[in-house]
Amino acid sequence: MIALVYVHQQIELVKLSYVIDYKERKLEYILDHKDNLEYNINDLEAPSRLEKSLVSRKIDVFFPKKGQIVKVVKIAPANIRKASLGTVGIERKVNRFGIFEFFGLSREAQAEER
Amino acid sequence: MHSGIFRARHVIVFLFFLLSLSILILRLFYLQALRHKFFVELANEQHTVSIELAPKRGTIFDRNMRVLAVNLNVDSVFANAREVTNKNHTARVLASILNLKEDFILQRLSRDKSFVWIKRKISPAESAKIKRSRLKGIGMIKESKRSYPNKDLASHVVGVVDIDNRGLEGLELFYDRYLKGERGLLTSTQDARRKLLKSYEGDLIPPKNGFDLVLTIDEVIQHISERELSKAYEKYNAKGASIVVMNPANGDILALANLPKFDLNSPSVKPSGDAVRNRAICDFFEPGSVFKIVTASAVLEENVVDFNDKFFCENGEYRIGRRTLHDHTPHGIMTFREIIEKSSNIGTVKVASLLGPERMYKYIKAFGFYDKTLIDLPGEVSGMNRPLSKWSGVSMYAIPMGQEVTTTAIQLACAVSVIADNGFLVKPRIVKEVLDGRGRLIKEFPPKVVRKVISPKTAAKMRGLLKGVVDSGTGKKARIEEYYAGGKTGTAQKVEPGGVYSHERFIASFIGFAPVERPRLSIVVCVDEPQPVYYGGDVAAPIFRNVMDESLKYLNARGAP
Repeated sequence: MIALVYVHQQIELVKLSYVIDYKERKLEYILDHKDNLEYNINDLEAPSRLEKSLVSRKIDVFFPKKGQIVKVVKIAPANIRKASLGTVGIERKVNRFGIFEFFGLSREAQAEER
Repeated sequence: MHSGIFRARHVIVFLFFLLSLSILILRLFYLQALRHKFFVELANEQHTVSIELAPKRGTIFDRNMRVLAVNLNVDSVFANAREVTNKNHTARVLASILNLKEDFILQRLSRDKSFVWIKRKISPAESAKIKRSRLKGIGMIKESKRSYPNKDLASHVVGVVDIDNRGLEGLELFYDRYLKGERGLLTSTQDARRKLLKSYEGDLIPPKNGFDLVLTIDEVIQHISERELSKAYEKYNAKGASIVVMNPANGDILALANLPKFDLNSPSVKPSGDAVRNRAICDFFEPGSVFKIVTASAVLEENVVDFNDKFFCENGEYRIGRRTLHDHTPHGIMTFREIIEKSSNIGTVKVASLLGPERMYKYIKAFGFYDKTLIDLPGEVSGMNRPLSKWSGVSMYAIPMGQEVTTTAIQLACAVSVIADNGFLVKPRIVKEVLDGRGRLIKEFPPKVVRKVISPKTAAKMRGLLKGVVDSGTGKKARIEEYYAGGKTGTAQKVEPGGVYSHERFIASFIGFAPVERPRLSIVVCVDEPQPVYYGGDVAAPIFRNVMDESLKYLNARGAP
């Protein structure tokens, strides 16, 4: 009886090996495919290829001149932002059931005609 | 009586079976106990296998982490010659798919071996065709192949590997010990079909994958440099060309290109020796007038001359003993500033005579022309320059204007960077750092200042002087739209086999930097034997202008320092 159980166990181990092997090959295939795709992306993004593509489509692209570059400054620091947004948090809680809209008290920009 | 005979037969049969059983038990004892070790070893030999695990070669990135070299798994074709039934048909099919000779494949299939290579590292298209053909006895194994997405970009810098991924040229060779990694070993059990049984894996020494390299090279600036160099190379039917783009502050090489070049993905197409040679570090030549920056720096540093000191330039012809010096354009009296701007050979020699050979030699050495720059690429040479004791009586009439002295393009790049970087000579570097597969820093190669060559005051004077060369001198074609550039032109005569200077073969060069106020880039351009135009100001200066202009705009757009 014990011998039978042992033999069954060994057979299951061997079967499991084949399953693991199959899944490993599949994983390897997916990883290789990913590597190939990344390689293709790098190939497509190569400066020489991009330039040829632009030239063939007669698209003139130039690097901007010094005066054409605008650097965007960082937005206001967090402590100032918190104070101004504090009331919005309260309003959100109170306005849960659309009360403000009901009484016509919601925030909205209104452009007036002059 | 009958029962007696019956009992006797029982006994005989019993004894027979007892004897048989005894023989079996003895035999079993012999096999299991006495010959146990032998059969266990035999079984292990058949079922246990040791497999070498190949490491993954490290990736090479540019300074912005763009991939320049990577490993991909591809199929390699082998044959179990003993299982191939129709050898002629198999050879014919494989020959047509793999572009090999049929005889070659047939010869391989005729060997009495269970494993013979047919072709290693084939393309995915070839692999798919072979799989579809379902040839008996033909199999495929995955192998790692070095691949270069930019094809021939920075080919001399990146280099190539052999079929077994060992570095042969360039960085692939120089940093092979970091890139290659270490093999691992797996001991496992296999079934009757030689399939590994994962559940019975034994000892595992995992492979150590190679480390990644991060270069100082910028893919975009490299492309711009190669494009502009190629245009001039084709336009002037040059024999060769080189360009080096360097950050003078820290020695970072942002671009290094040579022509002719070669496709890194086509190892089967053997490039000629000319194409493989990294001219920028391997070829030395007499630099000609670009070398005057050394003479000018020396005389200013030693306070021998001032900008407005005047010299008579002999109206273009100056006889010294048996030697006659010529200027390209005859000049009369010129200031020191004008001598450099207009590149007068006679004026330069007269200025240098105030310096003397000892001080001239001192500054040539300080600028690094007697030593290799120690750039991290294989094959660098330092040029063949004579020590002071071997200078002849006429050396001081040749060396100050760039004859009788040899230099490489990379040495010129470092020399002009001295002027751009306030007088300091920096070591050029191509590799910034080494990372592991997870991006963790393994080793860093920090910038290195070699020595102080001239004072910052002299360097500033030289920058102003070289700005004049571009504004109003021989380097007008190097002018850039948005910045002030400084530089020096050179039109060096090559030496003929008989030892005389040629009147037909020249090296056109330009060395310079921009912006003059605070140089971000220094560039050296050398074009070998351009025709029919051969002046540095006409051939090399426009290349400098185009590369510098686009590169500065690109760096500004990136927000790079």
